[in-house]
Amino acid sequence: MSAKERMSAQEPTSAQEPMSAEPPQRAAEVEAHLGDGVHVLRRPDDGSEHLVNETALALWQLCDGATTPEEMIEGVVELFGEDRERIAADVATALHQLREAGLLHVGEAAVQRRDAPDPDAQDDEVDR
Amino acid sequence: MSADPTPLRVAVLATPLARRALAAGLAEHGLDVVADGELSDPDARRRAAHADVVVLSAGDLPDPAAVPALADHVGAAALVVGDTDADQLERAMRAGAAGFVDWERPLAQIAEAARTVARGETVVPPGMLGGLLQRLIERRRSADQALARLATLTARERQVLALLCDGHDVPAIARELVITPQTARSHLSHVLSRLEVHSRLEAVALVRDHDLRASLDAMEVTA
Repeated sequence: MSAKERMSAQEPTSAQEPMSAEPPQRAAEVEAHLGDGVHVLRRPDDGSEHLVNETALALWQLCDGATTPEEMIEGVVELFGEDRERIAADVATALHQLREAGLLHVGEAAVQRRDAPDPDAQDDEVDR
Repeated sequence: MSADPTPLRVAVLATPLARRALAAGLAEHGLDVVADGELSDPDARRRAAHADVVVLSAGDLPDPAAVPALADHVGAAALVVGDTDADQLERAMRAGAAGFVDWERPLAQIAEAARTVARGETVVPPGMLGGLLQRLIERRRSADQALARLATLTARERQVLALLCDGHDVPAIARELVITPQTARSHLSHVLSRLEVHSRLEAVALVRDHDLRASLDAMEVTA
C-alpha cells in the first residue's frame, strides 16, 4: 500500500499540544525523495508516503536531535524576514504534523510507535 | 505570448557573456530589461536602481562583510543566479539577496523567480532550504559564542578592540584613548587572552566574521 498524505508548514491543525523546547530528532529510517517543489518522505516500516512542501522538508531535515524548535524559528525569521509569531505557529504546526506522521522520534511515545507500528493508527492518519 | 501591460523591470549586472544570455532570455519571457552592465560599475548600478529586480551572477558577488546589504548596494531586490552549491547559496543570501536560482534552470523559471522576488517573497532552490537554514543556525550559534567572549572584556578593552577593528595600530589606539602605547599593548594582550585568540588579526576576524562590530559599540553604551 502506498498511502500518501500531504502536509505543509502553513496548514493549521486543531487540538495541537504546546511545542516542546527539546530538539526533535528525525526518524533515521525515513527515506526522503526530493522532487521539484513537492517532496516525499517514506516510512519503510509501514510503506506510508507523506508529501511535504519545501518548508516542511527543510524543518524535517533540521530535526537532527541538536537543533531546537526555537533555533529553527530564528533561522526561518532571519531568512524570510516575516512575522515571527506567524512563523513560530507554522513551525509548531509542521513539527506537530511530522511527529503525528511518525517521521520524528520525540519522546517515549514516538519510540514506541516506531518499534511497534499500529495499523489502525496508520488508517487514522490517512483518513485525516 | 500576450504582452504584459506593466512588465517587470529588471536590470542584469553580470559578466558580458552571462549578461547577454540572461538579458535576452528574460526579455523573451516578458520582462523589461531596463539596464545591464558590470556589478562593479557605479554607472550600471545607478541605472539598475530604476529596476524592480536586479539579476546578478553568483560569481560576481561582493564580500558580504564589505557590503552592508546587497539590496542597498544595487538599489533593488536582488536575484542571484548561480550553481547548485550550498556555499554560493549561503553567500548570496547572507549578502542580502532575496532569491537564488540555478543557472541550469530554464529561463522561464528564472523569469518567474524574478517575479516572485518582486512580490517580496524569498526564492531558494528546491531541496536546498534545509541545508541553508542549518548553516544560518550554525552561524548564529557561533556568533552567540563570540558575543559571549566579547562580554568578558572590560569597557576599556572593548574600546581598544573596536579601534583595532577600525584599522588603528597601537600608537593610534594610544592617541585616541589618551593612554601610553605600553598601556594600549597591555590592553590588547588582555583582549587576545580573554577572546582566546592568538593574534590581533584573529581578534579582528572574530568580530568581522560574525558581524559584531556594531555590537561592540552597543555593549560600550550599555556597559
